[in-house]
Amino acid sequence: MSTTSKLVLKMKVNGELAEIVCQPGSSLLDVLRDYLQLTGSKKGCGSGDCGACTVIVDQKAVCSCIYLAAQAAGKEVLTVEGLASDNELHPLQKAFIKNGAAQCGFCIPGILMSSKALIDETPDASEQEIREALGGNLCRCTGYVKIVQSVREAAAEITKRKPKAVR
Amino acid sequence: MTRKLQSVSAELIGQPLERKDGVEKVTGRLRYAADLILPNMLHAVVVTSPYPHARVVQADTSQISNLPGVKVVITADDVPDRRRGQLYMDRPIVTRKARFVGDIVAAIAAESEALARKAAQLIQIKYEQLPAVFDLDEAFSTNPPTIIHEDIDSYRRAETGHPLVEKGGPFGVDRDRSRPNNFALLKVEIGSVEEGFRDSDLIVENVFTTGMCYQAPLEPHAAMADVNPTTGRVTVYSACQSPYRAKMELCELFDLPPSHVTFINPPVGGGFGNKSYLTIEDLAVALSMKAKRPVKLVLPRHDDITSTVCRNGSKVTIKDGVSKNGKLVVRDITVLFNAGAYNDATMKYILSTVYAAASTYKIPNFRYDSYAVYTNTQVNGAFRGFGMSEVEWASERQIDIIAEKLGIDPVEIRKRNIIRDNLSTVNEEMGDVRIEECLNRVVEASDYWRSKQKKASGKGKVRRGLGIAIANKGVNMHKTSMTLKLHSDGDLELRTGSQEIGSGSISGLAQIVANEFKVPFEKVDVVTGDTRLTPYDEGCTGSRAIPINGSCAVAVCNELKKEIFSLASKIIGVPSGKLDYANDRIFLLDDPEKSINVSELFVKTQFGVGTLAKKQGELIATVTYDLRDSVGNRPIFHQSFTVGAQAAQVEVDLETGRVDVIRTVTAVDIGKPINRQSVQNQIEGGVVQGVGTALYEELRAGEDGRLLNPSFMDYKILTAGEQPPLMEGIIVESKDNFGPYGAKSIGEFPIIVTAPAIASAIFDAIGVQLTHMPMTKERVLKEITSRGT
Repeated sequence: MSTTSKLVLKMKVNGELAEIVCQPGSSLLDVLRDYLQLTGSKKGCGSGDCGACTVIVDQKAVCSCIYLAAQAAGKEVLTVEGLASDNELHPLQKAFIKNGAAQCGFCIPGILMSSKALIDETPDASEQEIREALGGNLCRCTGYVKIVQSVREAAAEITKRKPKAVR
Repeated sequence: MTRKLQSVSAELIGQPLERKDGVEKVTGRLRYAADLILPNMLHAVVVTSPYPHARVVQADTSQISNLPGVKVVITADDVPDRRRGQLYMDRPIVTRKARFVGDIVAAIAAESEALARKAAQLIQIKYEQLPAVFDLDEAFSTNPPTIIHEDIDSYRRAETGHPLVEKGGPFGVDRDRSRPNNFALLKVEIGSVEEGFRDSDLIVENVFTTGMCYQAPLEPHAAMADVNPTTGRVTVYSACQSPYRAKMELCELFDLPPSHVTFINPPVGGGFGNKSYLTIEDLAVALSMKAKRPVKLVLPRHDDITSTVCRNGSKVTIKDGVSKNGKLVVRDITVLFNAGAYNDATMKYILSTVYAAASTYKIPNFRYDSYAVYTNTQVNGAFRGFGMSEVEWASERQIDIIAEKLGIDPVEIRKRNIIRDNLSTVNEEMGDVRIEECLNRVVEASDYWRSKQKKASGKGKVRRGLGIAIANKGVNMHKTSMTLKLHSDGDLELRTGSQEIGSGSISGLAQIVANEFKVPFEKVDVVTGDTRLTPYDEGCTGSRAIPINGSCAVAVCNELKKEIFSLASKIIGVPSGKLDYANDRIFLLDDPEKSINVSELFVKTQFGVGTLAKKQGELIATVTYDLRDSVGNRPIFHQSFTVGAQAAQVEVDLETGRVDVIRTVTAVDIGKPINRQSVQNQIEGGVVQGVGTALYEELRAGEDGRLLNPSFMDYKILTAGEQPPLMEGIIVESKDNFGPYGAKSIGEFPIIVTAPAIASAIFDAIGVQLTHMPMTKERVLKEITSRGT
């Protein structure tokens, strides 16, 4: 309620320092969407079941709807809005467009972030590993075929660019 | 910024072009309804009934009226006493009598969603509980435990001009007055059923049922209303598949002139029928009217599942008479649709499923009785397939059972009965339908005959099976309008009231316009989603977006070309009939060298800034397309029939009852693909949704009528790890007359054909003919144990 004291948090969001005022119980998703107006991350369930809210916090993919904003204090948060660098789309984004892997698109921001966390950590992820990494991201439109194919293609593209990926 | 575009010479139709909305969707820039904000807006929640059937005696708001930040509460007293529904209006905006657990009895708007939710917990609603009925048969009886709508005969039925509903139409819709919970009934009879049974060698009767499932779009319902307290004008922002239909429903509910309601319709994050009509927009409007501020209502997933619409259950009884060689002589089919607490789309279901009842078979004697029945359960609404999934499921299962009884192969018996003269059992012209070709293609691709020879494949506890099914899906709703404008740089701007819901239809329309004008795809922009700017459309529902809207896109191109050529003919000095258009140039058909650039059709404005067309300021055309204009007065409901076949291969675990779909081959006669990639992607997505609804997905309720699994944790849709590893799509082309370039639809067909193909494969694997969908592990195991397979 409004009598509760507010928190002031600092975190890096998409490379920029952000100072955030929120309730102690605010989720990271609500802070991103409502306070910072980064509405790319979606609320599909609010209970960590669908993965549409997935963002990356210090290299790990998390469901931001069940991740307290306070937990992200002092950390680096990457959302779909920060995936492209300058004016160039990330290889994942390019592959998703090429294959038509985004249909209604509502699950895509979360799927992209889960995929990025995976291929940053495991650039040579097998199809099985991709499917497991995306196990928490529901998609109702595509049947996943083009999504998995796009992640594989993007991983291959990134590996090609950086022959020796630094772990 | 300069653009380098390739000139177009090749045909664009069919090419797998990248969708228009790709960049917006992968960068998170696309704004869905829930992403929108208005200054000073309030946040709303709904208050729902915990009882399946109960009168609201009192709504005590005293506990919350003093809560800081809580602005307005609406109950049935605050809203017009009007009702909504498709063809038949029975659902109030806020109800005085709850008819299912989840029925909306109040709504609250507050400064924040958290405050509104807090208020919803504190509001005191007193109920008088009434007996409830959940079971379809009990509700349907002549002496049901309860009557769900006492004032059933006072409800309004729409004047639709619909041939099946119109007075004096060929069929006629009524209700069975001896059954108090039946609100709509359609009877169709062709030939003589009695004579048919007399002439049959074998009579087979079975009952097939389906459970309750949920469309599960990832985007929940979201609506924001902004009512101007001074002018009374209403602006609604909503995720809806049919903005014009929803707008008109709002006008009727609130007695508003159409000119005073604007419907803004951002791209939709998945629909599958769940957002087909007005759903929660009326609540947002009522709250905004009372609060005199903008109000945003986004349903939490729990409420989205319980309180909007789902696919409720069905019970289909089929009695067939066949000859010894497997020819269908007669079919007597009775379909009961569980409408749940309100009509919503169920009356439409009983009209459209007449095409699934005879399926793609020619049956000389045919009787179809279809009933819409109220129960105190979730509301049955549109769901991808629109009733065809339930009835084709029954029909295809029945054909397999007859094949088994006669010792005829399932492929063979289908071939003996499929429609070969393009005239359906209920005498609708189906156009060019390549059913047999689709069947042959899946038989070949799945190596069907070889697999049949290797009987009892699989060893130990896992059995493999291969099954097939066929199906059809027509298109209804035949009207749309479009506007097309030519800019002085040669870019074309198409304005349509249809919206992108995920299928790629908007890109498909752009592809059609680019093809007609022979310009690069990048030069066509599609403007959607604002009823002040984008012309009338019946919605992105019912597989209509390409066959109907695509036809309109071609028509509006022709109309605009007329305007362009008329202006150009004066400049070039030749008759307009001798002109053609390509790559921003208008040229002489006989002498392409003689040409002008589109920019020459425009002149500088009076003040030297910008341009306008030489003739009337703009080169723009608007066309209204009505399929009825091209088919004449013949009564039609469905048209442009997509047909096809699927072969499904499964593994059944005898110890657990688990069924894994390991491969599907789906062949679809879609006439002509507009974008091959989009078609393949629709097939994959539809098959996966089909696998989910066939095997896993079921909303279950407890004895108190409350859903047990209204969350994505408990209601299982397929994840990336569970999708069938092999899904092939085969596109079969035909020469249909209706859609653009002969194109039919793809949206709904794949889900319809998948469940019966899987059931057929399960029979092949374990010799059990399942009759209930979903075919969950528990049900499969029960069959295995009871028959000792």
